[in-house]
Amino acid sequence: MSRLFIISSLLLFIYTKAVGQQPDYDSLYLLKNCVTLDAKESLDEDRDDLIFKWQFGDGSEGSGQIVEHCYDSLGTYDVILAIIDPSIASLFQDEWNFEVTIREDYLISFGTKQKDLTVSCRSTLSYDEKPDDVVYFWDYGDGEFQIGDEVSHTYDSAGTYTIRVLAQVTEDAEVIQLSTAKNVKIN
Amino acid sequence: MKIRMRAAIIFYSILLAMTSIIQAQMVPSSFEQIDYLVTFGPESNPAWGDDDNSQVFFFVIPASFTKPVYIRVFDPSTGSNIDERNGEWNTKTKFSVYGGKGTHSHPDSRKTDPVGKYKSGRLMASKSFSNETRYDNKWYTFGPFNPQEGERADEMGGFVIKVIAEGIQGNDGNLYKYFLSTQADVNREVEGANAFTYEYSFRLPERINSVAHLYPFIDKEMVSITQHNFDFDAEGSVLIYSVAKNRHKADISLNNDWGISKHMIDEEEKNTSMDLQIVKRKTSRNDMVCYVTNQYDEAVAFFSSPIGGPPKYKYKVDVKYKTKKSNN
Repeated sequence: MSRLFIISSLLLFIYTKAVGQQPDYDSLYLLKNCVTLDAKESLDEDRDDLIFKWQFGDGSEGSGQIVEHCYDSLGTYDVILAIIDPSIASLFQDEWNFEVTIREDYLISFGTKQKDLTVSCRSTLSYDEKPDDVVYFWDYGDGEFQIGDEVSHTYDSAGTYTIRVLAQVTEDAEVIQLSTAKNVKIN
Repeated sequence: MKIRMRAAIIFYSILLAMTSIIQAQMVPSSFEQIDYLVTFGPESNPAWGDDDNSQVFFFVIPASFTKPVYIRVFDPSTGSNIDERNGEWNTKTKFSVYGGKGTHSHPDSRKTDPVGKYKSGRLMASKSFSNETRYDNKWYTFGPFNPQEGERADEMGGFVIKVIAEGIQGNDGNLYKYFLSTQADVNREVEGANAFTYEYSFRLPERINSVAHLYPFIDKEMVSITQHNFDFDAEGSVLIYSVAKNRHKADISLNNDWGISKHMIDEEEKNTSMDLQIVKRKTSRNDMVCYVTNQYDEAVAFFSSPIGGPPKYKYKVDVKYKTKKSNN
């Protein structure tokens, strides 16, 4: 029993230390945030000189029969295809359009409550589809670490600490890591 | 012959179905992005942009519409700021309105040249205009006409009235527009009506990069079309655009010359409108003529309001979403 406790403690120590050494991750994870538009089948053999010019709806543009674009933010974007006829230097607008929707998949946040030197933390993971598993790792900023959805910790002394939570989301055997942090003043 | 007749009935049945939603009797229409029709006097040089000093237009009024209609002509005289002057204003243009038997059904009325009995039908109204300032930039109204005075055309679901503009004297260019109206003094559209011609003589927009559109209807019997354009002065490009053609290049004409090219019809283009796009690469005043024939050398009608709407090339775009991880 005591051996199991020692091994578990050691693993937890390694794990939590590893978390503390990891670089920060985004709090927001966009799944399927990129689109590939393949218009090769649209090619008219008699006019293979036409240039396909794309407006992605977020202010950026691309050109070519196949283009890829990644969006940085959630939203719905109007993708518009224009055609440039280089032989007559003419631009034909609005040849084809498509609505791309980039939706939020996972967003991590947490709330805190304080009493004296003790802080209680509760994590929230927003998602479009519930993931298979989520584990939360907490870094209290004073060298102490903890695992759990809802946790609490008592500091040794007053001060301002950065509390950081790392969420490891498992979905379809893929592990996605998100993190967020906030400063708390302990009186 | 019976097969051809059956095909024609099918063709016109489609027109009937599609024209029920059309409301566009300004000729040229907003779809076409053409400012004016043009007819020159008979003493003009064809190199100025008119091959035969004549233009024939047909208006189809649905049988369900039984109130009087008017044919209105904008700026029917010569001498205004929009007309094309050659020396002194000396041109006279005659506008004639025809209805009754043979108006459209007579084969000569569907030819691209003013030959034979192309004035078939019963003359219902006519007036000649010369250099008369009172008509400058104003509408002149013919009518009222009972729609049933037009030629009954069951295959089109209505009655057809024909308007012929002829340059009968002089050498200036007369630029004008038509409107089929329910009112004599204001333009009010006739619901479900449309207008068409077998040869279009028109003034291109003056600005560079403008695109004028003509909309021939491709029926199910068509195997190929041949486009003919006259006196474009090689000022740009003529492109064939449809559900299956992404701006195929057509031959263009030089000054006082015809540009002619044949284009095969794909199966998916049948029973759709085609868009003959005339792209201008110069800022200039340019008048030209266009017509299209099928594989039998029969003229194909251009509709002011394209049947089924302006065509859109059918792009096939495969859209795939994927994830690109933004975190480290």
